[in-house]
Formats: sequence, structure tokens, C-alpha cells
Amino acid sequence: MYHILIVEDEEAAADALRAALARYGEERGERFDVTWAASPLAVDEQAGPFGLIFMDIDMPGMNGMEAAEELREHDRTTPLIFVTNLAAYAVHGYAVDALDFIVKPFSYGDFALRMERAMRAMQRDAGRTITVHPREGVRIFRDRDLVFVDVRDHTMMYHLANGETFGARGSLRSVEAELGGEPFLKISSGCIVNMAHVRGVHDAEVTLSTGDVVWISRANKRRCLEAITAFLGGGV
Amino acid sequence: MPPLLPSDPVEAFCGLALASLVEFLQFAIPIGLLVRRQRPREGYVTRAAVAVACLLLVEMGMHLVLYAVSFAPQPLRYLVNFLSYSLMMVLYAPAILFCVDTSIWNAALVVTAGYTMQNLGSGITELLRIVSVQGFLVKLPDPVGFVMTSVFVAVVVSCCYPTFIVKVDRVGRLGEESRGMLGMIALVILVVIGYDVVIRGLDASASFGFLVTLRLVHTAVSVFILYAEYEMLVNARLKAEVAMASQLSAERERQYELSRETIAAVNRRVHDIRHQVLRELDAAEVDRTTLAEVARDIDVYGAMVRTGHDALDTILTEKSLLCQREGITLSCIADGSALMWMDAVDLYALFGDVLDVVLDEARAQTDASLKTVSLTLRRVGAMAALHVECFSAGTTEGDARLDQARALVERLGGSLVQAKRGLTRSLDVLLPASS
Repeated sequence: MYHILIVEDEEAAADALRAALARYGEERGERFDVTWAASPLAVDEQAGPFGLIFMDIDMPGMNGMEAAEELREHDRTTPLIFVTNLAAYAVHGYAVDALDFIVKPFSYGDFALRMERAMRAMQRDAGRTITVHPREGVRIFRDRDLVFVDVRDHTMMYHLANGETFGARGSLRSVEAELGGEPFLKISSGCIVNMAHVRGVHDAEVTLSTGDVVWISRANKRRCLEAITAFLGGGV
Repeated sequence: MPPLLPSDPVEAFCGLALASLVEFLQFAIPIGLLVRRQRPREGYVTRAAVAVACLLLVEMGMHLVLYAVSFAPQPLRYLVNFLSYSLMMVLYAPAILFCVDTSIWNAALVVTAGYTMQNLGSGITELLRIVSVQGFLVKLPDPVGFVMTSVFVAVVVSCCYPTFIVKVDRVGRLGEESRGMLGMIALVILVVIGYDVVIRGLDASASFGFLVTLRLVHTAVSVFILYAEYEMLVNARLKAEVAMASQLSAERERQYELSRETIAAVNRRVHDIRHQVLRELDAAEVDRTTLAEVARDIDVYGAMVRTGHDALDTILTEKSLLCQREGITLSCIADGSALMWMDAVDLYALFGDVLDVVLDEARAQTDASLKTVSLTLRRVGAMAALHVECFSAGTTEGDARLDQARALVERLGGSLVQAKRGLTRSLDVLLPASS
């Protein structure tokens, strides 16, 4: 079940989105719990958190772009799709990390294409927890907080987004199996990175969100570059 | 070399015909493999039959001449052998041009390569024969030697198939004039044919080590010729690609300038319309016809895209107008500043190619509601990530424009991948966000 918020001042347009969501859910076997707010100011905070937000841009009071800016101040990840009459404004949706936009009136195809991508983003952001057993105690953290894992002196070193690093026994093969693929990518025999934290790729050098630099092995270069391209492009 | 003819005329003719046929096949098979991917001319089967018949007749005539001079003094024998095989090689070129649509330079490459393969096989047979004689083994009688040569030519052609013939197929053909090919023809005639004739004549008098060395040199030169011909083909192909790319770039530059001027004209028109509307509002009565005309005019303005990058605005607006005309929905979220470092023509070409690929997919959709394309360009750390997605119609899998786009992206230090997931097809490009 995905919780979806529609912020739209025109009831007819909100109904069209509800209908499209219902049809999409039926076709794909997904269930959506839809909340509608006629303006950004009318959003019930208690109703969240939301997996996906559809936002009109041209609304009285606070417009959709301003509302999105405010949203991004405390939430960088929830996928956002603008629904608008004003395609020219939506072009700048990158400023608020908008996933895409739909121009009103839209066809079901227009909606379904963007929804496909939104579903991938929601599944990616669903997140899960990772449990690691260091020498002392147990560490539990969210997968999105893990930046990379590398091997030092036969110890698996876990590097978290907050700068914390700790070691645990094991092998990179078992860590790779436990992390279970995307967004994690093994780039060499001694390193696994979280592609969501990749901030730069230059030749075989990968810069991560923490400023750490790791290297892709020659044999894995093409495969890794393609995987990172697809992931960061949003194709995943 | 032709076997000795028996005294019975019928038997002699059959022996001559068989020897000619076998030797013809030794040359024709590698040459045929090399031209098999070339475009056949109209009436190919008839042409091929005529060419084979003519070449066989010439081959038989050549064997007859070689037999006639087999009792002549050695220098004359050498000369006739050398001239016969050289002439025979030259005759294969018009035969190829008669059967398939190719350039004379490519025909020369095919013939010299085919001849070199045959000579490599026969040279290896000779080398083994020399070694076996030195080892006091009985020298093989001529018919057996002839069979052995055929076997080794077959082995050489089999080895050359994956290592040379298939690679040549991939590279393509020699279309343009190639001065290097003239040198290669001379090398094949002098070294592969002439040198081989001379070594054969030395058999009886020369020392074992000297003969083996000469044969090894012949083998090495033959292998070098095949390698050099392949390299020549690759270089010719690269030159042609560079010429085509610069022509394409000039064409795109022209198109880009044209689009930029068109967009500037649209902007000026919209400015005029604004004044026209203001005049209408000042008038006592609003003219509905004028307003309808204005509404139609400003409809085009919905397709204008402003990303902050001149070249990106131009290509996205151009494609957006095209989509509007063809009933395709195109949504663009694009941070033009992420690619500010890119050359305008490169950027115009990249987005043009990538969008053309997905627009072809959208056009091929029979359901109008599936004619929709999404494009996002955003900055991710020190990189620019482009994502283009549409519903797949499965029409443009191996698009040449995608190869062009990939080559451009890789030249700029990025990567391009395409993916199909369920009903959608997407292209993702990752580029550095600064040069």
C-alpha cells in the first residue's frame, strides 16, 4: 500500500488523478491510499508520511513551486510530480528535485509513464534496515545511511553518511549477498558502494557524498559505469 | 605446381581439368568468403557462373602453358610461372567487379588477401615437405602433394576465418582510393608469388637450413600482408568516419543556427502579440476574430523551453514544437547550467540524437495516449544525469543515432545506457557537470 498526496485546488483535476491512480493500481495490482488537499496549507501533517506527492503549480495562496521548496527543506527524498497547466514553470522542477511533471489535461498514457518511474522511485526509497555485528554489540541502521563498505586488514569497514565508521568480521562476498543488489554495487574485490551516495565519477575514480574516493577495478569498469548511469539517471 | 600429365590424351585432359579445378578452388574459396557480404549485382548467379567458367578456362590454359614450359630452362620456367600466377591474380579483380558492387580498391584487397591465404597454405605444405625430406622421409609424389596443399590451404582459410575474414566483414569495405593498396599489390606479386617461385626452384641445390629460413620468411611475410591489409582497412574506415562526423557536425551547426533564429523570431512575434492584446483591451469593442487569432498564435509559446542554456533551449524547443505538431506529449525538466561547459553543437547533437530515438518509439505507437515522452536533466554532485523515457514500441533497438550519441558521450568522459522495463524504454546519460 502506497500513501499518495494530491495537492490540487481544482476538484475535477484531483478526481482525474484519483481515477488514473485507480486504473493504474488495477492494471499493476498495486493499492494506493490517496489523500487530497485543496492547497499546500490545507495538508494534514498527521496524514503523512507520503510515498508520492502530486502537486499543482498554479494555486491561490501558496503556489506549488513555493510549497515544494518548503517541503524540500525537511524532506529531500519523497518523489514529487507537478501537475500543471504551466509547462514553462515546471521546466525548473529540478530546483526542488521534482521527478517529472504532467500537463493538464493529461491522457492516461501521460500519467502512466510518469507513474512507472514514480513507482521505481518509491520502491527504491522504501528502505530497509541493515544489521551488523561488530566486535562489541549490534549496529542497526537504514540502508540509505550506508555509504560504502571496504576491506581493511581482513575487516569489513562500514562507512555511514554521518561520518561514522566501524568494522566487523566477515567477507565482502557475504556482505554483498546481505545488501542484496541495488542501490549497492560491488565496484572492486575490496569495495561496495551505495550508488545513491555517488557524487562524481571520473574515469575509474568514484567520489562519494562523504568526500571519500574509491576506485572501480579495471575488469568491472564498464559494468559499474553503466549501473551508476542507470541508477543516477533515474532509470532504475 | 601442376602434376605431370599422363600420355593418354583423355586422361591427360581429366588430370589437367582436375588440377585446374582444385587450384581454382584454393584461390576462389578465400576470395569468395571475403566478398560474400558485398552487395551482389543484378543477375548475380549468372554473372558468378560466367566468371567461374572464364577463370577456370584461364586456369586450365595456364596449367597447359606451365606443363609446356616444364621442360624449358630454369630461368624461363621461373618467369612463366611468375607471370602466370601474377596474371591469374589480376584477373580475379575484374571477375569480382563483374559479380558484386564494390570498388576496384576493395576488389584488389580481396584478391591479394585471398592469394596470400592460398600461398600461406601452400608455403606451409612446402615447409613440411622440406623438413620431411631432410628427415629421410620419402618425398611425396605430386598428386599427394597437391592434396596436401589443398588440406593446408583449407586449414589456413579456417584459421583466417575468425581472425581475418570475420574482422574484415565487421570493418566494411575499402571504398575510397587507397595508394597503400598499390604497394600491397606489388608486395603480393613480388614477395608472395615471385619469392615463392624462386624458393621452389632452389629445392634441389640449397641447404636445408637455408631453405627452411626462406620458407619461414615467406610465411612471416604472408601473415604480415594479411595484418597490414586489415590495418589499412581499419584506417580507411576511421578516415571515412572522421570525414562523415565533420560533415554531420557542420550540418548540425547550420541546423542549430536556423533553429535559434526561428526561436528568436517566435519570441519577437509573441512580443508583438502582447502589444496587440493591449491595444485590443484599450479599444471600445473587443474584436473576437483578432483574439482567436492571438490565441492560435500564442499556442506555439507553450512549446518554448527555457533551461538557462541557449543550445539546450534551442533543441528542446525545436523538438517540443515537433511533438506539438505530431500529437506527442513531451515533458522536460532540465537544469541547463549542469551542461554549460559543453560545446553548443555537441549538446545540440546529443539531445537531438537521444530525443530522435525516443520520438521514433512514440511515433510508432498506435494508441495516441501512449505517445508521450519524459526528459529530465539534473545535477547529481559533480555530474549531470539525463534520463529520457517513453513507452516502447520496439522499433528502434539498434538505432545508429544511439551509437553516435554513445560515441559522443564517451568522448566527453561519460556513459550512456539504455534499458527496457515492462512497457517502457529509457535512455540514461551520465556526464561530468564541468569540463
